[in-house]
Amino acid sequence: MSHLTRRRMLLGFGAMAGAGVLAACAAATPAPAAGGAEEEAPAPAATEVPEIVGRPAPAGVAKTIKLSVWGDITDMQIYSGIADDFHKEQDEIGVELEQWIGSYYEKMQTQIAGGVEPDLIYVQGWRWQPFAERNVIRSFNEFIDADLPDYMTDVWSDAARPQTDMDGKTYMAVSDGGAMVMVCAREPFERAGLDFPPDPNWTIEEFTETVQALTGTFDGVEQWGFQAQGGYERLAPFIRLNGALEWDQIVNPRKANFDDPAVTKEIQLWVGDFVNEYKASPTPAMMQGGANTIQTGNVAIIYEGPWFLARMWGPSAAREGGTPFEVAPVPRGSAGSICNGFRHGHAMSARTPEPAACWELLKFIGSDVGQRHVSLGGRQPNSGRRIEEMWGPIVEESYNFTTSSAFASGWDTGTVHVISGAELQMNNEAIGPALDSVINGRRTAEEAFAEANLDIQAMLDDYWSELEG
Amino acid sequence: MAAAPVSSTRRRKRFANREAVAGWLFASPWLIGFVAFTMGPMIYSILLLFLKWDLITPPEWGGLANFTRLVGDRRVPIALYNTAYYTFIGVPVQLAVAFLLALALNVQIRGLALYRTIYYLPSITPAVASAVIWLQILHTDYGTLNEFLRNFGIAGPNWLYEPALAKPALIMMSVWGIGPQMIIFLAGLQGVPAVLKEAATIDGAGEWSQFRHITIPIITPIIFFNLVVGIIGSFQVFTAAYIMTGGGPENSTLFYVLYLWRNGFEYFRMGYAALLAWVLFFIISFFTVIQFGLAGRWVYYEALRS
Repeated sequence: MSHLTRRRMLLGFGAMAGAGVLAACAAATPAPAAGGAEEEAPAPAATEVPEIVGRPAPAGVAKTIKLSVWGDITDMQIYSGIADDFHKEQDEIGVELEQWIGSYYEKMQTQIAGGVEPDLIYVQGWRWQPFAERNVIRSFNEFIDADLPDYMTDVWSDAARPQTDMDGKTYMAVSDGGAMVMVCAREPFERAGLDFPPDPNWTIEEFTETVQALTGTFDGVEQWGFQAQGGYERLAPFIRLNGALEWDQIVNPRKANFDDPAVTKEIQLWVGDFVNEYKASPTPAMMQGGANTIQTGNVAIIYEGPWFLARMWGPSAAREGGTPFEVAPVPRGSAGSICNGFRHGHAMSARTPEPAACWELLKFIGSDVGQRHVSLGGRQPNSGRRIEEMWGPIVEESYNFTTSSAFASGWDTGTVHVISGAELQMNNEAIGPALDSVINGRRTAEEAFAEANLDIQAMLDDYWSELEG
Repeated sequence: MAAAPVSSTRRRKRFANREAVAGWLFASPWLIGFVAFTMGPMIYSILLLFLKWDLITPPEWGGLANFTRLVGDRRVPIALYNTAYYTFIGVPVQLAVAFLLALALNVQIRGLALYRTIYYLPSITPAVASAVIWLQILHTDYGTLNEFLRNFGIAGPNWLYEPALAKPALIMMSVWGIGPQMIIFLAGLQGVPAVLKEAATIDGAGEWSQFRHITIPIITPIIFFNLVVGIIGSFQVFTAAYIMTGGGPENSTLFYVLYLWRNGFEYFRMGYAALLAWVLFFIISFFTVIQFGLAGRWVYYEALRS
């Protein structure tokens, strides 16, 4: 029997390395069939945060649908519950779950580039459009048409359409969402001697007076009325409260109107004046690292969504014992009360070999059974009716408040900032920096956006010229 | 009788061949990794310069479109300025602090190994954890730095929210990770021959004179190495801005690689991102070549002299 020499060992390792390289270069294999999947989906170690985690489909199913879920812990729990119930209801389609933690869209792009994307891809309502433009996700109108009128009519409302449709075709089924409201902390109101909760029909003027009255030192505590935020996504509804619009249209705009005096007036109020003129909001620097925020008890009002409630009350509350709160709709302007009505959902890969099975799963996610899992997991369900009937009682009990109906009214009138393939670039490089200068008090909104609007318009023009050749 | 030398030559040849094979096999893990994950993508990225590729659909021929975009791109000069500022101010500061620390640790004191470990530790701390720590240190109201300044009656500024201060703040943070440079300096200082210092002492040279005329010249290759590597690394600064400032405020920390990454992964312009990467490659190469060109004037290589 020959003994192992250094050379043989090296040759052995060389051969193994070569085989490894060849295996890595081999064509991508499709998702593992049921039965083999269980071994191939490693459970994450308890001590590390995995980048990609998954849950295989059950054995013995005829078709397997791979579905991606958003990167929060709660999302895996929600979709595990949905998949379990879906498997109970039928035994033909198996659901394999995949979760990408961190850098979600980058992973999505590289998976699509590698041809290994899930059949159903979780997306936000304003981020899937570039993928539809490039035909990597498909519309599913033929299935909707076959199933209507009794399916999802309340989900695909007029408010949802900008985030689910493009060019008359539907690309996203709403799985959950987030209508935003004014979260109001009880203690600062009581310290300032104001009625709590505030009137849900408040106007912008009443809101402005309220936050000024809430600002100051009461019972030895320095507090602010409002926690202003300088991000465009959340600013957009406030710009529109009195009828102004910073684009020619929200979906696929061609013209930027950020320099319109009606627009800059609203930006100045919500980003600049509450911080620098009225001193009714801590500056971003003061709020850095979580200091001087509503969770620390010395800010009265913040504009937030359903995901924020756990930070106010319950076991995950930022402050020990929680921060008692109620919520109110966004104050009314001449155009009414408008908030962000974010929709999230699933888009169907254009390459899926099982579109009909995908549709069955989408329907199940959107049904009362699926949406109960969504609600129990803490996410907001996909219609105003379900928010009020299903989600409201759950969150009111979990987070100790009574005014969840504000979320339902926000859902029906909710808007989205903009839908455009150039959104990220415009936001990163022109809108964001201009808002920085306004919230820091270095420039007025009029000055900042006189210049920024030119940049935004140039980016829009560039985007369209690239797209249309 | 003549067969013996031929056989010996063949044996030597066979042996040499076997040695060569073994050598290649030893080097093969790195070579395979280099070809597959560095050289291959580099070659492909040359092709990308002339393509429009959004990563998710097949590339299309774009001719010189990426080059035209580069010429008209107003963000590129901003990103280059920010990166150059960070590099040409940050690297000298990093080297000076690393060198001073190495000098301080180049003595025989109790617990020396512990000090060395402590100073090295931040450089192996994950970037995200470092960023979180520095967000706290730089906090306007409650940060350690401004608290320290308040002791002297100085009102600390909004480090990460003032466009003029955000880059200096990130430079300050970069000094936190100078462990590797410090260790290399320390190795260099410990390699300075004691015999030279003894001879200088006999000749009447003082401490400062020895430091200036013996220590510094002997370790110039180390300084040169740290300088070259430092400049190459600083031009590629990304993580701090990505996590802490997102390029803001007002694009003041929009570093070149952050802009490159955004073009590739957020704006669907892989071809343009490849061009930006090649421009960075040439910029770094330019400064590296300049440094090597100037090295002859100030770097002392004892082996060359002897």
